[in-house]
Amino acid sequence: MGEGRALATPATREDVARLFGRAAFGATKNDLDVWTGKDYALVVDALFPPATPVPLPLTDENARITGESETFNVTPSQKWWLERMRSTPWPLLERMTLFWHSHFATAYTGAPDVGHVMKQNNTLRTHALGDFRKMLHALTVDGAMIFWLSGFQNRRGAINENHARELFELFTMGTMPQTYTENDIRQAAKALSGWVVNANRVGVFDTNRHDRSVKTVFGADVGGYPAADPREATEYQEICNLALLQHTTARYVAYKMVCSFAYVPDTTDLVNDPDPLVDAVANALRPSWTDPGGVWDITKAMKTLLNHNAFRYSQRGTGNVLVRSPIELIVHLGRILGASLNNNNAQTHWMPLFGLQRMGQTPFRPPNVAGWPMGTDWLTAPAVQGRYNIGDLMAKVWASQGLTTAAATILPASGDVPAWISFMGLGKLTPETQQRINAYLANPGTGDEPTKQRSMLILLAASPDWQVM
Amino acid sequence: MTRTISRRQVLRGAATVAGAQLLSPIVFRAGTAWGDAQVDPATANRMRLVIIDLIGGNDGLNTVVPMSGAIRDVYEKVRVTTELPADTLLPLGAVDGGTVGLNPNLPTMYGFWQQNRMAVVQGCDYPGHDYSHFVSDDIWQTGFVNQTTGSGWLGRHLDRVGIGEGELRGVGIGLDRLPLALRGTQVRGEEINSVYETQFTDGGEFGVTQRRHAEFAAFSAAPYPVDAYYGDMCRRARDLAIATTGLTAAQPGGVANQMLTARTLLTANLGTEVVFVGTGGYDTHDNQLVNHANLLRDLDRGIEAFFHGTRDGVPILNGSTPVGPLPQAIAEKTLVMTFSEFGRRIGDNGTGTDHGAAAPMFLIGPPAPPAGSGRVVLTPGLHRDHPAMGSVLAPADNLEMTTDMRSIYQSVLTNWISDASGPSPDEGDDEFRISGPGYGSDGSLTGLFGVA
Repeated sequence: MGEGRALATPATREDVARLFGRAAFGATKNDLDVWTGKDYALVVDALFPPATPVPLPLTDENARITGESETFNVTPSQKWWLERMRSTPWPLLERMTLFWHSHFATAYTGAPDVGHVMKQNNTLRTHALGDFRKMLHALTVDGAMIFWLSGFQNRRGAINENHARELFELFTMGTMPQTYTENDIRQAAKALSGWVVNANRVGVFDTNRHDRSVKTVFGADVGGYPAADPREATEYQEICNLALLQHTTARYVAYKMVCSFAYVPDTTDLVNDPDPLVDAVANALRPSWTDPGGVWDITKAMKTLLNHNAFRYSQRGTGNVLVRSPIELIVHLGRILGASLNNNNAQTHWMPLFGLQRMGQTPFRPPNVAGWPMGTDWLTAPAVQGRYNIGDLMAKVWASQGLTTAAATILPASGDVPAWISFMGLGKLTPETQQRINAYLANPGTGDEPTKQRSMLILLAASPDWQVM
Repeated sequence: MTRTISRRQVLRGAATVAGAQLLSPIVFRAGTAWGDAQVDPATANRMRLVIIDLIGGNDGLNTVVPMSGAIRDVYEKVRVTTELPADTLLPLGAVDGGTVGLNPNLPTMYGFWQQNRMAVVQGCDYPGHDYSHFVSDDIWQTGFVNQTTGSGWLGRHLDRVGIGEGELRGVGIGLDRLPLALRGTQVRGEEINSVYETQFTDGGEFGVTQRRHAEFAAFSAAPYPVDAYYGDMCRRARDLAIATTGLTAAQPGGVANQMLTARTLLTANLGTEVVFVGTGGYDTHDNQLVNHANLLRDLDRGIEAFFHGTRDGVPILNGSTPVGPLPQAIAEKTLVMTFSEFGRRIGDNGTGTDHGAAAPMFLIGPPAPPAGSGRVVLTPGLHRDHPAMGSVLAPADNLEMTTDMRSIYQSVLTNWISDASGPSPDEGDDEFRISGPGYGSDGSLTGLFGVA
């Protein structure tokens, strides 16, 4: 066992609830029943697909890309992805794809059609638990990204800095603190020049648009090749690799992983004072310094994160700490209720996306190049009201799919609080939330049992225990 | 300049303040079926500020544009595809090195210029400029040039003056998250998207929904820091739904939606004093001529809707009722100000421009109050020097700061917000007590405001 790694102890119900709640779109009662008591590290391992990429028995992505070509109608793609998150046997893979979507935040509005971001979505999934180096290379010449960050306009004589800056600031090194210079950005922009997007939505290199000068980035020389030298077309990889050699990169990417899956660390000086969990994840992510071209193993980093004591026990003394993102909440409710998120019911088909919009997270439409908020930044008063509304909205989605006929067997009796805790995928309730639930049950405002059951769903889905894990 | 503390630290600093300390009580609005507490009527006398953040880095040089003289020569040399013809510009006046004109897509703002209600402060920036959107926007919102804490400059104002019972004193509109500018260390503003996105969706079962909402609001008793932050927001969400019940705002599209929402709140007797509106898209790395024109037109229409209630001369309808001019009692106490995290480079990059440094700020105030009234008045016209642009043979790369933006913040706090007719004096922000030519003893920009 490495330092900070959880001992081989059986997973408690709370362990399973937290692990699934943070990394797998939430637990169902079945998940809790199956995994409680198993060795904790085994439960973590079970979340990982056996190989990457994994063929899934779901809608064919290529058909989806073709279907969305030449259109700005993103709704079918959004619903398709949400339903995939809900119904996949490998929720961690989709959860990671969502994480990378926010890391390499690209909006469908930046490209000529929705097919570009769907293609990018495939690329993110392919590498989501693989080699961060390969993912970074692929995303740097990704079609949607080339449009989104002006790469298609970056050419010899008209160098455009947009992509180079965000490559360093948002995708690799970060600014905690900034360890690169304005000149590094300007030089790197030249090395990235010459990339355009072809009709198949693939980034292609055009030597005539490439800046052939020698670029000096972090003190290393890149490029300066003669005309049409094939090495020109991989200069972008050299820039990526140089960024990966900077000591801030692994810690910055690890910091974002920790923020998304565990907590927002108090310490943010990644050079002098990294959070211990951030440091451990960074060490697992990057290859040895003696192997500068080695694999950046995302699976190893994530296993380190999920097994770490700071992940497993961070709630001690400070309560729950991770504000779950809106998509996780909607998908979790879909999992609990067995309700499709890609439904075509005339009355309710729009409700999951409407709920997400009110909470501030629309798939394929991040707010800006830095992606979605983290931690308590999600929580404005209207957004938290949106978080209340989702229990009601998803109950309507569920009812519209004819699933209420099974209500008696699916929803616990309104007064059976322990059954509700399991039904919601929780290990326990804090005494304060328990008190509110009891207060509601003592004075429910109705004698109608189905309405009381729906109220339990709404209140528990809006509770701090379920929203913050 | 070395800046060792990051953006994340700023945000984190704001977030770590325990929820319980951050209460800005929104209580029930008078006149609603639920209501009891009322906002102090004296708050209607407050001076008001609407600040518009042009997110992405507005191209200042194509907003206040060199029109003639040596600066025009340099401009024409380095602006290959993004040059605006001199004869399309709306003349503003003489500066060092020539004359400048306003972008022709800002006709409403030019109308205010012609009525002596608009000030243009040139070359605004801060020492040690940062070219990152996120770092630079944080600096603009905190006013901390060497970031050491995570509070916003308007949030600290709210700390100093307090937020009374039932008030929505500081509001962000349309940003999806509370702008850093409105986060204090003791209190903070609220963020809303529109008055139509503050209501619960589970109405219709009267007794039950009331019970659910009550228990939802009572989650504020959660004990731990993050839980408590969430729980506090549950209570605020419920109270905000009540406070905004029945409010309407026409939504004709674009930034006008946010400006008309601002108008609704400023006139709703909620004690609203500072409003922060964010509008994005200004990161014009490519296709700038088309995109920037559309952005400024949208901004201008937002300002038109806010003050005049019309768009292109056609009344904006709120339901079937036309939106008229901003009520005079509000208009005579309201200042609108724009800023952006940075300007763009002097030269273009092909079809767009990359991140730059200094840029102009706009301030639009009320018509001058009667002479001798002793009230604050915005000094219209061009303020400060135009940044140097180099020569045709050796154009500068960037526009350097000629105005420290902190001096404008200090003026707004100590001259505008603290006008004698308003009940909310603010001594100003210690962070902004800068010195230098043209800055007063408290660091404010000399001459930006006068007394009628």
